[in-house]
This record gives sequence, structure tokens and C-alpha cells, in this order.
Amino acid sequence: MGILGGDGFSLPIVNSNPIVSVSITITDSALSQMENTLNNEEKNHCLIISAQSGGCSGYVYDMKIDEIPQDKEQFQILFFGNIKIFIHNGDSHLLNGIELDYKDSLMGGGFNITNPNASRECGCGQSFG
Amino acid sequence: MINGETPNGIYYHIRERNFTILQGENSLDFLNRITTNMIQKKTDGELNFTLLCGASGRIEDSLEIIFSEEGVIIIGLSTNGDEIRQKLVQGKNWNERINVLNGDDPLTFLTIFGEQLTEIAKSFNLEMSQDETNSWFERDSKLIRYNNTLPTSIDLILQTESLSNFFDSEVEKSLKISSINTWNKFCIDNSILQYNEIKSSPLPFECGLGHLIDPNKGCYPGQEIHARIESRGKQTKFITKFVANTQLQSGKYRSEDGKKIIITTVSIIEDKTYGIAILPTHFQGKHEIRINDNILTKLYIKSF
Repeated sequence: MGILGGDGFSLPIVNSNPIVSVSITITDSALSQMENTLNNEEKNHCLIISAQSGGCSGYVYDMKIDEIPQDKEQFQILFFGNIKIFIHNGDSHLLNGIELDYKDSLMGGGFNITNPNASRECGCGQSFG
Repeated sequence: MINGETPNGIYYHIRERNFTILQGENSLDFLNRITTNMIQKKTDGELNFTLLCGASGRIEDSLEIIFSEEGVIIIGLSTNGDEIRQKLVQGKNWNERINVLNGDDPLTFLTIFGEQLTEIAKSFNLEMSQDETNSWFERDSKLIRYNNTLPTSIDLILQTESLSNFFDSEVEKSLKISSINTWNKFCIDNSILQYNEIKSSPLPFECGLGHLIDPNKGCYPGQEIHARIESRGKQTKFITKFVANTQLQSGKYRSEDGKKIIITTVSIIEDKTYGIAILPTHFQGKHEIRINDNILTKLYIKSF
């Protein structure tokens, strides 16, 4: 038996932050870009926006287009036309109220998130805290 | 002398350390997003030392990380392990396979120090001649580290439920429990940082932990602040040992010229105070300073 083989280790620690009902805003340019990206795959795919630790300011955003997660009950699902955006309950307090924008520019272009919950943001726009 | 003194007898001290266990395939990537240097997976018991900082660059905890077959063991200095664990859990991405477990109660960290540790080391099958500093060995459900510096000490992590059996054995019966004063003196002599030194949330450079910052690492919480301090030389405080000619308690003091002095750890021996303090860089290079706490006290500064 190793050092971690004894009794008394707790069950996995769970996130104690409250789950809030998420509302987000998406600009027309962001919506249009997502439609282009999804390319008629909206039925089985969605955009998942999440936050994870890291970056200069404490958290970094993560956005990915993926198949609809199997554990859907863990997410809040927001509909924008045919587009479905999934936000995990654990991230709801960090991402409620964000505005998603898209800038078509060679420099500094791409999706951009403005977050009213952020008390500080990194210059690169990827990190918030 | 403030360096390298060995107390008479063999003592043990149960250290206030927090234990967090990470299990899951994404544990290493997860840690490397938030720590101030790159954590390497080491399977030979060798340690990783790193810091967890806030966005302001100030230390939230100083961590030692051990990779065992059953998970990653994170040993922190903070006395508030729950806060650290909650911070870790909050930063987990939804699709990362990581479990964060609380090991505070089931694990105990104790240090054996003093004179003639040879017999004790033999009882753990440790070779005193080997330079095995910073490596942990797993023996009979215990993790053991032999600090081959002068004076020697042995660190043990054991299951709390086996603590009474451990002290019942013949060799361990010879151990005396250390008073806080004796333990603090050992820490001061050997520059061992405790939670006292980081509980005021200093910047890493201010408490002798600047070497745990890797300027070549990418973003981590606090990195921007650390980079600015590194490039612009804005360090305002430094850590030092001292001897004072009166008895002092840990706490905040003012120098004769009004500068703030934080005394973090003290050990009082025969009306003298041996201690660790965080001082303004204004005092760097000075051999003594005066603090005005009704009676005038001199601090004789020793390098850390």
C-alpha cells in the first residue's frame, strides 16, 4: 500500500461557486462568423465557451466548436438562430453577461470577449480575473 | 552564530502543511497553467518547487510537488488548504479529467532534527552518506526525505492513522517533541521558510523565492507583474535573518526613520531574539538597524 492508500481522503472537492442563469450578447458579426464556421453542422455541433485557470490575470477563455456534449444537464444552452452555445454551470458565474464580438482584421482580428465580471484583463484580451 | 547550529538532542516537529492530491490524466497540464515555473513529471522522488500567485503577483502558496503512482501530491505552506483547493477546482476546465482531493487529515508532515540522526536514519533504511537531498523515498507507506545539509534533518510524510504506531517503535521513543521556540530557531538557522513568511502575501522576490519564477515561462497568474519587476528592478523589500538585543514578538514594527518592518518568525533565547524579517530595500547592505518600540532595539542583520 502506498502513501495514498490509507483512509480518510475526501471525495473530490466540488466547485462551491453559485450557478447563475447565464445571459450573453452576440454581435451580428460574431453570429455571422459562427454560421460560416459551423457550415451547416449546427444540428450536431455547438460552440462551447468556457473559462479555465491560467493567463496573467487568473483565468483564460476557451472557445471550441464541438459535438454536443453527452452530459448536457451540466450546461446552460443558449440559442441564437440555429446556433447553440453551451456554457458549463461551473463557469456560469464567470461568463454571465459577456459580449462576444468578431473583428475581421488581419491584425488583432478574431473573436473577442468583453466580460463585465472581470476586474482586470490582460493586454492580449485572453485572460481576465 | 546564527547559521548551522544544532540543538541538543533529537526533536520532532509536526509541521502545518496542507496536502492536496490531484488525480487524472490532465493533472500536469493543469498545474503548469497556474504555477510560476514549469513542473516536470519526476518519478524518482525528486521534488518540484513552485509558487501559486494571484494576478497581483503576490504569493498565495509555496508548493512542493511529488509525483506518486497514485497521484500528484501537492504540499503547500498555507494553513488554509481549503482555499487553495477551491481555487484549483474553480480553474478546472469542464472537459479536464482531474480530481482534486483533500489530504490534510489523512497525511501528516513531520521533521526530525537535532544531533546524531544516524540511528533514526538506519531505522528508515536511509544511507546518511548519500547525497539524497530533495528526493523522497517511499518506505512502508511513508515518504522519507533526508536533508543532507548541516545540520541534518529527516522529513517524513506518513498516514496520520499510523502516527501512534510510529511513535511506539523503540527508535522513535527517543524523539522529543520540539517547542515552537526550538523549531523556529532551527528554521531561522537553516533558512527554512514557514507560512509566517508568506502570510502577508509578499511578492516572491521579497521573501527569497524569486528563484521559483521562470522568466521564460508563458503566462501564469501574476506573470505580468513579475516580468515588470524583473525588467524594471522595482523590488521594494527583501528577507533577512537578524539577531536583536531584546525580546521581540513577530509582527509589524517601525524603524527609527519610520520604515515598516515585518518580523515573521522569532525564537527567543536568553533575552535575545533570533528571527526572520521582511525589510524595505532601503536597509540592504546595512549591518544594523534600530526599531523604536518604546525601548530602542537594534537588529543585527544576517544574510538569508
